[in-house]
Amino acid sequence: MKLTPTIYSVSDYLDLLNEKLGDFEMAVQGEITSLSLRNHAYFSLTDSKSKEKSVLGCALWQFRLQRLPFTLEEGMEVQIIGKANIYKPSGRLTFIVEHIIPVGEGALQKAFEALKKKLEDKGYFADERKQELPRFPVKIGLLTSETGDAIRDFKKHLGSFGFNVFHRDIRVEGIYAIDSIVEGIRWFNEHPEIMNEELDVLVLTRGGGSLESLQAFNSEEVAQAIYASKIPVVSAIGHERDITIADLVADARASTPTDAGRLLSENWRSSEQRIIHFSQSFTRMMEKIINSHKEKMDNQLERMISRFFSKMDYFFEKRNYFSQSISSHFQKMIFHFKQNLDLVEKQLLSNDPSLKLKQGYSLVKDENGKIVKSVKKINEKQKILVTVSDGGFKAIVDKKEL
Amino acid sequence: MKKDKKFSMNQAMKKLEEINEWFQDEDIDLDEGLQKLQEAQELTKQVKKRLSEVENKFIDLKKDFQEEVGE
Repeated sequence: MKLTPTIYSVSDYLDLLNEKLGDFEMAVQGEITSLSLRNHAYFSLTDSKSKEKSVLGCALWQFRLQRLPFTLEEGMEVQIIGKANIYKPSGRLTFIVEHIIPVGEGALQKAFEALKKKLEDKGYFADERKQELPRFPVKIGLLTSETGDAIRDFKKHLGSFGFNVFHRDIRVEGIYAIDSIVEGIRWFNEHPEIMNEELDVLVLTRGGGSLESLQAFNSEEVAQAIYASKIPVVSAIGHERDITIADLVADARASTPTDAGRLLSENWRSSEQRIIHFSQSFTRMMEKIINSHKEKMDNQLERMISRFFSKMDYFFEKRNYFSQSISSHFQKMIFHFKQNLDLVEKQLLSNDPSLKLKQGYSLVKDENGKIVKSVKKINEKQKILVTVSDGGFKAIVDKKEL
Repeated sequence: MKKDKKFSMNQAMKKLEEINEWFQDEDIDLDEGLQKLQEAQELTKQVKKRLSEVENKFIDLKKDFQEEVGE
């Protein structure tokens, strides 16, 4: 029997090849050249060190591109994993990339250091230009992916203090991340009307990752957007040790999304403790003041009392000396006084002067109101006051007669 | 800086801190002290009230980023 080869149509043949190619999942390393980024990424992979020119056409579909933890660039050395496929309309072989890993962390690190130096020189990280966060923020603009853990961690540790959190979904990695972050920051700055008033603070956050996955936060575009933001920006990117350019430019830095939540609620949380502490301190101080006043008063009172008693003591001592003479003297005085009083009373009763005046007598007094009983007590030209029964008159002594 | 219509947590805490500072002084007038204490009590009450209004509000500003970024 003669073996006759099966004759395929072009289409069937390519289908067969594609089927066979589909069995070979391979890893290839090379340098990215002629990169074209639209919805999907197309690029050529070449052997950078080889003299022999070899080109492998590659495609990275959009859904993978979006999740890419770094930005594709020409000249980048990468490892790609995937399967080749022939595109039937053009007959061209294309490597369909399933995974792509940049080779050499060193390259990224170098780029990071270079940008850091550049922005530092421009004063982007200077403390003087950083905005102060409000002590009690209420309106918070949250920029993070709606799918990541970051949003959950942030909300969980924010506590409940009546915050208004406006969340805007952004891409935190992949090729759209930079544009998405920049647009998000700008959007919050340009739309204060959504929140009635300007936001108190913007929080830019995502969970940790490799240097590659944090690429967007190490980009100049994001740094500039943070720098330009009128709303203070808190960055919380990655884990404890990941410091990105965004962290350095931001007005405040939290290490993680959890930390950012804590940072914004810190003052709210502590104010409860503080006011308890305050009221205790106030009452204590007030007591102290009142006590010190009381003490002062007591001291004065005591001094007064002791002075009083020392006076009394003096008095009592003297009394002992003179007690007898004093008492007898007093008794005599009182006796005489009483006698005089009686006499005067009797005289007054029997000799009511008004009666005498009515009988025609007059009462003569000198300027001092002293009754003139003797001519010797009077001088010529002296003014006198004469009282009669129904009144009185002033007179001048014309002539003295003895 | 934002301002609340009626009550500002920031101002209330600042005022309380001032009063606290004032009380740390050794030579204090009794009448003034009583006045400050009264003021502090009122502020404390307000702060406590504000802290008890705890509900947070979360607003998702949905936007399909593809529409904007993907041109």
